[in-house]
Amino acid sequence: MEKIKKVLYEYTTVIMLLIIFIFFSFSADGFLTLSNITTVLSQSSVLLLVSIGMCFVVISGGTDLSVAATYGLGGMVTVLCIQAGLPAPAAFLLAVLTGAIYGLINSFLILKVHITVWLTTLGTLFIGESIEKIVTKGGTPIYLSKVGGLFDYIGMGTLYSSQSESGVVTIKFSILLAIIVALIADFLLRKTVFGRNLYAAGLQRGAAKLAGVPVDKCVALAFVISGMCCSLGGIIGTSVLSSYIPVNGRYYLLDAIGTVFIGSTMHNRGFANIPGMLAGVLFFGLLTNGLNLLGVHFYWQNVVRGLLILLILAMDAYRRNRALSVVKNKK
Amino acid sequence: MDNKEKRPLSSIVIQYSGYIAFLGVVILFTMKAPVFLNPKNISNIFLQSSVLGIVSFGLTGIFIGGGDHVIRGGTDLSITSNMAVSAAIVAVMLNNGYHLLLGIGLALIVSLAIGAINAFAVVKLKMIPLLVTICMMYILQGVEKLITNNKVIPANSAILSFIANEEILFAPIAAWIFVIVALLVYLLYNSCSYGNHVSAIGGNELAARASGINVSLIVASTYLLAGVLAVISGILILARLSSLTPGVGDLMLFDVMLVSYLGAVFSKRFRPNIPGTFFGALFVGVLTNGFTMINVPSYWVYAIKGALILITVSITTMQRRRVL
Amino acid sequence: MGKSDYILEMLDISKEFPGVKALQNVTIQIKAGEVHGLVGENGAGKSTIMKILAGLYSNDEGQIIFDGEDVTKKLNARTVEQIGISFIHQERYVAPHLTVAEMLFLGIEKTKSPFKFMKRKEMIKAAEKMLSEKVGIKLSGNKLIGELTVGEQQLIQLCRALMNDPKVIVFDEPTAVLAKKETDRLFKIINQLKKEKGVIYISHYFGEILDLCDRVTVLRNGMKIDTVNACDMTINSLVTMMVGRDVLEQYPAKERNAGEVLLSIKGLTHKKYFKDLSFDIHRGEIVGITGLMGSGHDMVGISIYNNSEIMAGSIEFKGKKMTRISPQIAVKEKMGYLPDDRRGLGAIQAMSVKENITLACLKNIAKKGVISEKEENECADAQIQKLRIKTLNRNMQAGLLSGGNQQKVVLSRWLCASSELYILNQPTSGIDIGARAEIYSIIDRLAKDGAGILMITQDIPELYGMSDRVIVMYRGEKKLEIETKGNDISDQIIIASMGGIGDG
Repeated sequence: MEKIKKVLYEYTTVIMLLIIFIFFSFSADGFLTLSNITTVLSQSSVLLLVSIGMCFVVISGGTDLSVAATYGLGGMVTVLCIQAGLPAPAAFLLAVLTGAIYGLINSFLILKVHITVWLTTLGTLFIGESIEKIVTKGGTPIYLSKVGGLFDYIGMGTLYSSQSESGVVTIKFSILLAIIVALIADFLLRKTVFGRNLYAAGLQRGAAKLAGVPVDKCVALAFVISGMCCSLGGIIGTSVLSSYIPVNGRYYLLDAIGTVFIGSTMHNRGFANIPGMLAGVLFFGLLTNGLNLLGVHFYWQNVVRGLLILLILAMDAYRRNRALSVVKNKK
Repeated sequence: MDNKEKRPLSSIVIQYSGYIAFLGVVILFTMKAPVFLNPKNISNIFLQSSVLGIVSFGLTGIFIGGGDHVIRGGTDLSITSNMAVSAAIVAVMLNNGYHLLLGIGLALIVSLAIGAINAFAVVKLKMIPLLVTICMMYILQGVEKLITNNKVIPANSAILSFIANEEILFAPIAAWIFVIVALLVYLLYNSCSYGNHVSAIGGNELAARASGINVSLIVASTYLLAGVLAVISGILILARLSSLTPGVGDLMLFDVMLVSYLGAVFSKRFRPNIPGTFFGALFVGVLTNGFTMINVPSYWVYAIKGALILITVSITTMQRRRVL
Repeated sequence: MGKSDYILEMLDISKEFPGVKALQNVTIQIKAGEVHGLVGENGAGKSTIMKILAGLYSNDEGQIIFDGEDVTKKLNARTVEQIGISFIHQERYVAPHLTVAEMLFLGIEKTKSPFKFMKRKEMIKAAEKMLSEKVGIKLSGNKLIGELTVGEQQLIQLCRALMNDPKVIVFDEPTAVLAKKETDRLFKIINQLKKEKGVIYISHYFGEILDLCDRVTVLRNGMKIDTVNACDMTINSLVTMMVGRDVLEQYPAKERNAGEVLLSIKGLTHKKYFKDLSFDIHRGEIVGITGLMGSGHDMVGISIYNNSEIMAGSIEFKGKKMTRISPQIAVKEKMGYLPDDRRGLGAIQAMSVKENITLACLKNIAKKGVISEKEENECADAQIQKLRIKTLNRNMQAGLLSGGNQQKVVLSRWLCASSELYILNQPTSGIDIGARAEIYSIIDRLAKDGAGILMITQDIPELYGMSDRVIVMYRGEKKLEIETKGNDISDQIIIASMGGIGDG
């Protein structure tokens, strides 16, 4: 009995996710089909990329509110370049570069001007969104006529497609791209000197500094990575829609915070981490999908989503509090 | 040990930088459009700042009691959604023939319940406020859409239009409500012992606890108070526009955060505070109003807001590191 | 129950935690009018029994009688002050942005009903008056707490405690952060207080205990060994009683030979804290540096490690002139710094022991930026064994280790990085005697293996017990530099730290 309790405590979040998965499998027609699951996966690429970016910044000790803006600016730069006739690879490169520069701006303000992370990224969020509005003269979307080639492929290209009784099973290129980025990110964070330094910088900056950790460089790199990941997400976003819709990134901002923090509940010490975040992204995707299949009205989805995440976080908090009080008493 | 050091001029300038910037902007606008300082326009500014200001007071209170930690510090991202839901409740009740006061009463109950849930999660479960209130925000966004069906809903009430249009001393009652609420909240947080307690908790929770203060109760109260203020703001929105537009809460969230943080620049100790938030809200109101007067498109205001945060806050942060 | 001599009695207190008998039938009795010392190693039960008194833990067995009344059931964190027992904790419980008056009256503000408006002017006047009367300092009631020194903040804590007119006051390691002058001031206050109240004084500084206390209770392994009269004891006998074994030599014998010059400082001037400082450190030698609060001695170490606030002078390390030193550069050049703020700046609490140990030498265990798990584990295990770090395993969270063991973790970090210069800032403050001895022998070994050590400390016996050479600073200047040569030079050190014979 004690062992079961222990397992329950350790894997609270995973169990919750499984429960939800099982629930949908039984109650929603068409949920547990290959075509459905692969569709959900393929559609999660943008959220995954934005979450990777957010993950780096959270590990470094902050939150990056400007991901919404870098997502938008990435898409904007892409579309403008394509419109101007530039080849897709060049457009992509410029978009990712924009994200990197944005990350540098953030880190400059945080590290050299010493503004707190929240406020800096809040400010750059505002400024980024207004740049979007200014360039599009008030926020009108830019529609691209048939582009084709790499531009279409990155967002809409399929790697594998087959017919099955339940529907079309597709695995899009975009999710593969996103997963590759995630794997690289995970490797960086868990196995490299940079990753170790970044965790140290985020946990106790002063102590890390004294230990010789190049804190400033690491935090700056985290923001640059975040900017690049988000602008890559923006590229994919515009490819999927063949258009650019300004100021559309705030949705991803909030979901990314959710996925990263749900992911941290799966780490035994509560550190933000990539594998947990992946599960979080999957969770969000499947949740929305399952609710859709159940015919739950769009408005109720927000409510259900919020409640579920709250429940998961609350259970995790409860678990941590209990563990903490046991330790405290021992001393 | 205690010597009154001579303050270098630069330090004094920085301390009053907020006010100086405020004055500078006002002068700038007046030069370009002299009608800016017209009493009617001034009262308009107060009116426009009222909704933003009142809900920001609530957030400011949470900031004061919440401490400084980037992720773990007190915050409430659901506050503007709370306001929107309150307004929606009142509007729908009005449209269904109920008396305004009944609608307000129901909105208050709901809002306090939301505040209580937030408070419980933060205080008792010791969850991270950022996360709790993001979830709550999701939930409320959904609730608002459910109530309003994502459409604009009219809200017609004699009392509401009275508040919005009737004037006392150049200004509509709504504007006066802003000033009165500001005054009351100021007294609460700066003159009452309650305010000292909140401030202490934000500075060092253990110290406050060791002084016998009921930390849980007081932190919880900041969330509840924010809920009440959100309801008041919601009513004012209805009064001003005689309707409720969907999504108004989401748009306002970051403005509210801007104003509450901006307030720190106006204080001696460079921490979030009520008078600072009051001036912050007016500042944003001045900007919005002034830019409209000189025909600058609204999205430039957006950019200015962003730059504002960064400039003024860099000053705040530099000052704080010096003091402490 | 008749009226007894004792103002506070903790009788037969027992407390058990899962797997650990923290207290077994411990009896402590405090008289009004005495200063009662409480000593014991960490884990002996001192903090447990005080937490029970403070209402933070509940005792399994036993009674607590205060002023004749059985309060065993009544004690909890919020009411203990009202009952009449006040605590001056080790941690500074102050909110830096409150004013002196606001802090002093926190929770008991002078207010005007019905809305409890604070009467600020009255509070400021009362605060200044109370500070002057009860603890004898002059402070403006409007000053921000963050602007005060640590000693002043502690006095505010004390004043606050006294405002409730407690009958018993507990001091928990108050002098760990104070300089001699402030300690003397505190003792004067305590001697005043004891005339009417009971004082419990917890400390690791046995010299103080014997100076200040009338009686001393010694705890070991959760049991009371004895309560003795201070005048009957010496430091050695007290130590023996506490650890249960003879600890004749606290400090390792100095059998070290100094080698070549490792660090050479000439005319070093700090923006604020000291000027024109010059001294050398050789390989294999331990140089101790001390002074009162405000002498600047505590800033010397960090200034060598990070010279951003240095305005003039030169630092030469391993024969190389160092123009710009930052922690990153210092680590690269093989310097190591042990900070005095252990939990904040020392070991990273949430990271594992292994991760903490390897933090400064990641480059050595990584190929092209990728960490080798095998090499990291080997490195960590080696250090854990070498320094005898008490931890369940290498992956245990560092924050769960005791203070002494965390200190060892940080030391091993520099060992792992093959540091050649160790700058140790208050290396044993607040650490119990068993762990201290181990740390001393580690430091001695480091020096014997060829490293140079700069030891910053206010513990004078430790200073001349460990150092080959001692530097004393006074008001930002070097006042004395002297070889210890195994002598007790504490007189010369103390006089120098106060400015020298015939000065001020």
